[in-house]
Amino acid sequence: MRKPALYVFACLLILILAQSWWPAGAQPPGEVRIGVLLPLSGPDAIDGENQRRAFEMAAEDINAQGGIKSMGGARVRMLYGDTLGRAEVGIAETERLITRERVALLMGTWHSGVAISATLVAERYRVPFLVCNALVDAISERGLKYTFHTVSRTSQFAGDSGAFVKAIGDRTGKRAKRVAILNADTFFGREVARFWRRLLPEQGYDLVTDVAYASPSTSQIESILKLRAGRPDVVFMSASVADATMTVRQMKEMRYWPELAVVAIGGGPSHPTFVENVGELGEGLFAVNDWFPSIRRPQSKELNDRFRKKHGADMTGNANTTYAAVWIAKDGLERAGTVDGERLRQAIADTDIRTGVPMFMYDRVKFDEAGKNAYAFNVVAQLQKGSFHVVHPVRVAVATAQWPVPNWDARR
Amino acid sequence: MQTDLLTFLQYVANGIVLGGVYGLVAVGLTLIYGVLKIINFSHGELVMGGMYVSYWCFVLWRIDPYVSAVISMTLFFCIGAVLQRYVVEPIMPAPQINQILLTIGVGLFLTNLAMVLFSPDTRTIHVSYATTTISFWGVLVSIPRLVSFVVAMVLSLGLYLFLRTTRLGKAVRAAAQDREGAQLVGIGARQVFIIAFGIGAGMAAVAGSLLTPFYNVQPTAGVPFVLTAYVIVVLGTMGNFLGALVGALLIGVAESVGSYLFSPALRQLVSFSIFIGVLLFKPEGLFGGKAS
Repeated sequence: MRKPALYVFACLLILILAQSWWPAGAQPPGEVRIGVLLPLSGPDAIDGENQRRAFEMAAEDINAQGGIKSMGGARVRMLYGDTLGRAEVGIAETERLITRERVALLMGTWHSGVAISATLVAERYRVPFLVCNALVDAISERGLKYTFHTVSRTSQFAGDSGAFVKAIGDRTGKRAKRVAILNADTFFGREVARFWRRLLPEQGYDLVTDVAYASPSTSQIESILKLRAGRPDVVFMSASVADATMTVRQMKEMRYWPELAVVAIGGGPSHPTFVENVGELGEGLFAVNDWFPSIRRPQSKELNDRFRKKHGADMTGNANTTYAAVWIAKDGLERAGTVDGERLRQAIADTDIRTGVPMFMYDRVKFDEAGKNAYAFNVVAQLQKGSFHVVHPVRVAVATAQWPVPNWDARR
Repeated sequence: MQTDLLTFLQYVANGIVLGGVYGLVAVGLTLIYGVLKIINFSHGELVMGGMYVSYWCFVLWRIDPYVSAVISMTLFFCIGAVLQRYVVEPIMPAPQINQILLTIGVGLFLTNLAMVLFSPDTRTIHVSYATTTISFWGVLVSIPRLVSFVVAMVLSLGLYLFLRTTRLGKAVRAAAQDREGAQLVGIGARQVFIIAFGIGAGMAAVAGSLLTPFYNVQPTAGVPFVLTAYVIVVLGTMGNFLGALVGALLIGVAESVGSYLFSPALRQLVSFSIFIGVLLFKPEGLFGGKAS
């Protein structure tokens, strides 16, 4: 009596094991699967969740408009892999999404470190990977054929911030010569500082002070004293929400403000939490980022309002680049008409979008030889009356920049 | 030359008030160690708890953090007492590594509880005096930091007198020195430990409350202060809280002047170099052997 039971058990075991070895089969008809890698748990889960909302909203919007028409109206479906923000988990999840879930393409990853590794896996399996919310230049500098980088890169954040100060100096006659760098001693902070150190002198500035601080910081007074000693016209700053708040508050404490302005970059200073935390002390601060809700571009306001209504938050912190990237992927799928890796890769490489949804933040979308979006750029916004308004470039600006920004004593 | 000296004094002044903040965190830590011989690795989370008490008191009822400091001290005295009675006490006979793991676990639990309840967002409160400063001959000192410095001094001195002069204080010291001996002469060591942990937790929460006017509130906010506080506790001899206070000022000034000489990014290099130096050459700390 025991033997048949054993046979049944063995058969079941083989079946279960076989199922996990055999590929799960092709994509079901009428559905295009997109694999998404994000930190959905762990310390950065809140950022991952913000991205996930943008992915979901994009998929809903595309499906509501009839899905991928060249594939008979196939619906777009997002399948998620949780990276925990760790490269090794990202690699395993990428493998799973490709081999088990048979996704047509991959997107993500929020963390640059995860993107660097995960894109290599996708390259091996010949599955296109749209990196839409990780910024480090190296992602698209390794000659990978299947990796496409839709966002503006770290070097652009450094270059665009310097170019803005130059442009507004020419416009107003109040030109900056002496500049300072204040950067968080983090991966992103160091990367940007590295480019600042190279690009700012090339742009004609004298780099008089170069300060890195430990993050999270218990005091920024030492950094501020170093800035003060250098007497810069403009301070270029990279900081998290917490560090940026502390820096501005302690600048007020020390009654220090540079001659002309503080130009901050990245997600921290342009985050709504920072705006709320810093209060009126932040007035006049410039932030450089790829998009702000208060910008003169088609559909920007409508889109942000819709996102806000749904999730109670602005579509910032790369939710915007993520949303746009799903539409870029949709455009590629539409022209490929198939989920075959090589043909889809070719279609994405041939992308040249000049109209449609991605125009809410891009002028045009076209990938160069390296797979970088050649038209990704940053805008500059200024904190005016409690929220960021784009002031540069002028063609997308909604407000006029206050330049120079007065010292504490000169403010009301 | 004149301005150079002024700048240097500015760094020193900043170091002293920063040291006051560190001291406030370190005093509770060293008290718990001195009495219970347990290194409380959840101390930073108790500091964070105090921050949230003051944050919510301010947001919901507009209670000033200096007032709500009393609320968070009372609340966390109770929480500390409960922690000691039901969590720490059962593991007191166990090897020290188990106690460390336990307190780390308590800390992780509290951090994640705060994340669930309050989200990981960084928050700040806007009190009118948040960025006010007072000028001593051109050297600017932040008023809320100065207040926390003064409170740290007063509280430590008060604790010192409490332990030296009152009956309960003497009982605490007796239980710390020899648990069985104390019990033999009729001191309830269990109660004493509960009170000691309660006071330590209350001090941590006060530190958190006093930080709120000028620091960001978030679930991991206590960590950078507590890392430094461990160094201070060792430097000032573990269990000696006047030593902790002196150590805090030394570390505060060393970090600040170190930032001036090297880079603000390397401030922890300075404090941890001192830490390693102390462990190598004077492991009993500056006030070696004289635990109060």
